[in-house]
Amino acid sequence: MNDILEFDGIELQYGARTILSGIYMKCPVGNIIGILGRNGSGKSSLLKVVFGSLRVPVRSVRVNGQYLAGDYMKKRIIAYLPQEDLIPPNMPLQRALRLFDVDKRHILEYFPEAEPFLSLRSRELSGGYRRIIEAIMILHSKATFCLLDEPFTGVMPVHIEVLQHVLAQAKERKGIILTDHLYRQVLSTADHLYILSDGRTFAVKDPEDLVARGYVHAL
Amino acid sequence: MAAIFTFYQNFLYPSAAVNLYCCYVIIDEGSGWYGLALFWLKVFTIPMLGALFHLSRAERLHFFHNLGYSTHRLYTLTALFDLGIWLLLVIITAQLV
Repeated sequence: MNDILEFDGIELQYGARTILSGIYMKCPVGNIIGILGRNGSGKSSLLKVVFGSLRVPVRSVRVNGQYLAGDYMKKRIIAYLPQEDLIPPNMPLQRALRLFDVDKRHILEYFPEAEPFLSLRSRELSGGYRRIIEAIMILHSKATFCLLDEPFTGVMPVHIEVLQHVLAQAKERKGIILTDHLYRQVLSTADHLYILSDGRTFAVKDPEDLVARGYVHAL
Repeated sequence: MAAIFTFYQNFLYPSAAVNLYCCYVIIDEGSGWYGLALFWLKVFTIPMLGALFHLSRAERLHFFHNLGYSTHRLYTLTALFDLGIWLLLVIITAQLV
């Protein structure tokens, strides 16, 4: 049976404003789950809560029905690509790959033009190159589940296709949750789609739901 | 350990400056009661440097979170590592003078 990541009961408030309240989502290995939502709807916060870097008073994150309690980051079951740069600016890419225990061949397999960049420091790369290398690195980490916050943003179209190919290959051994405002790319990549609105998740059965929920004016 | 050392590099220069100052005081004044004062100076500067980093570059923590270190664990282990280096330097300096 494939591993399943599930989460619900997440409550997050900033002051009087409720960001997350009625959340339920599950992500089995072999699936890519897309999350769409307007700016400030809590997509990034949700991923951080599930990853464990944002502590909230109430949350239930489970793998195969087992509740993940306390500091579960050390188990490295879940990897997270943040919206911001992942690799510290002064760090050579090769060292980052070594720390993540990712063989550089995994990067070069999909992205051979990255060869000359691997000896550079993260800050010496353009934002788009850095983003795709970081995303591939996360997708080849040991974690069973990967949370990707805006993996397509800043990446040029030809590399988005490469990244979609990497995602399709990675999902055979991982469960992946991704969110991005490039919704056409999310629609074409994800197996299941949710929209985050008013702090709650709604399953998207039909792309028309995006219009109904006010995420896009027209498809 | 490689992750802790990598994270420690964010504090390397200011931390080395404090360590060298402590060594200088021991060479100049002897190890006597200054040892305790220097210990508290070091203990005071470690959370100061950590707080400065956290306020200005907290987004860099995600890299280390992915390596299995929570924020609390990362800061605690790095502080102990820094204190260990300080202690080693102070002991070596005190034995030389």
